[in-house]
Amino acid sequence: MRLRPACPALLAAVAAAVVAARPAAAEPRPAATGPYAEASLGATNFIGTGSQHSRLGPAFALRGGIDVFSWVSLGGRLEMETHQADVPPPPQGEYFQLYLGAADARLGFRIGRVALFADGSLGLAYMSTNILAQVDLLDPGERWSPFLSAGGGLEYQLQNRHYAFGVAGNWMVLSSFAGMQSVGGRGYLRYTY
Amino acid sequence: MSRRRTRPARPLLAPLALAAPLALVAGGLGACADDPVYVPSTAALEFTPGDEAEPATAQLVLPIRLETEKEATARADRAAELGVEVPYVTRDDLDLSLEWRIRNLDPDPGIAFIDVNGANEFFAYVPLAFVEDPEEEETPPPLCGNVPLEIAGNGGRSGVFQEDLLAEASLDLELITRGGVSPFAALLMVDESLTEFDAGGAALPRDAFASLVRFDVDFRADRHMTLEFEVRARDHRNLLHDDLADAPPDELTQFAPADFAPPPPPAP
Repeated sequence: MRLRPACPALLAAVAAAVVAARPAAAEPRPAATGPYAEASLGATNFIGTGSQHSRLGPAFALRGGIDVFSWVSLGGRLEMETHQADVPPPPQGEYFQLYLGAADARLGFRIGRVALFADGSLGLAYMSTNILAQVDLLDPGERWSPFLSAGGGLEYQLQNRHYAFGVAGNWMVLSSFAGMQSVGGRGYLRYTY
Repeated sequence: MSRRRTRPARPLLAPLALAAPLALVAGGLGACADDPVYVPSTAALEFTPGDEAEPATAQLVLPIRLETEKEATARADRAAELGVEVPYVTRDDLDLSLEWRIRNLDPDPGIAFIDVNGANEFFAYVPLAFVEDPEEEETPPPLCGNVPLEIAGNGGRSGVFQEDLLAEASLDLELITRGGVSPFAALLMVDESLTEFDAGGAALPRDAFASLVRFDVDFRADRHMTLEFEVRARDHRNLLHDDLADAPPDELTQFAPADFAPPPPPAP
């Protein structure tokens, strides 16, 4: 198809209009910094040896802390996970919970409305039952384990500078529970005061 | 470059948005008190049928920690108040269930029976103790079980004696022993709403009913089969030792229940 002579001029005008109409892409959306609270809902699955004896389960978490600078935050979190145990019967169809408490650190930067971040935690986990002792993932009487987790995610800043939504993923290792490892994903709402 | 005006924050939204996960986490932490503990039996029972075959038997004793001085004093005070012995482990302290799995090692289908008897800290229930003349008298039923279970050839089957059933078994044992009720009457009636019973002239209230602390499991079948079982306990008073069966013996309460012998019939 051949372009009519008027077309190049028209295209140039449209392109100029588009450029003029574009939002200031480099301008970060205003976001509050300071104390924050975050609530998340997600799912966690064990990998490696733990995956044979527990199933994918929901995870709920609360985080709180403070943005020390716009690119670094320090805080803590409380989390609960529920999993179905998959051990040779008996028992059968039983569930266990994992309660986590940890210190959190997060590093990130913002590009416009979106922030990218990496985070890490160090804390203690408590397992609600001894059901995994049957498959030697727990020692007799053992319910507590230190854990380490690391991950990252994306955060979308709403027009209201206090609110942001995000998605994130993480990996965790429970050193005392035979080194059980898990991976998880979560969606969250963050409120910065 | 123009700065956009931001809308004023609505602080009420944040607490609302955080409330649901907070409730879930808090509720989960609160639920810790009732988390179950699994007490496995030592080994699988294996039964091979034959003319003279006796049931395969196993005993599982709950690993109960030692009683503290404060608990012993409170129990002694309560016993003095009631005029009857009060157990260290009451029926309200533990919710127990017994989970089992049978495997049929024979290619032909078969029938299996699990009988669950046991003991509280005072008495053990032994059905045969109630039979003076085996030719003439019927043996009383076990506390739980004695139900035919069909097992497919080379197959398996799982099941549970649930909490309400074992709570009833604990009460039946109390009725048979301290209550002096016939085992046939105690075991055939459901007494879950019983709030007290007469124990030798004194009223024994519900909060002083003893719990089962020992399980005596008999297993028999018409084929070559195995039985594995374990006790699931929801411990409301933190009575089970953290290390369960691996705990040092001197840190566990050694109960010595007597086999209950029924009183002789009144002289004519």
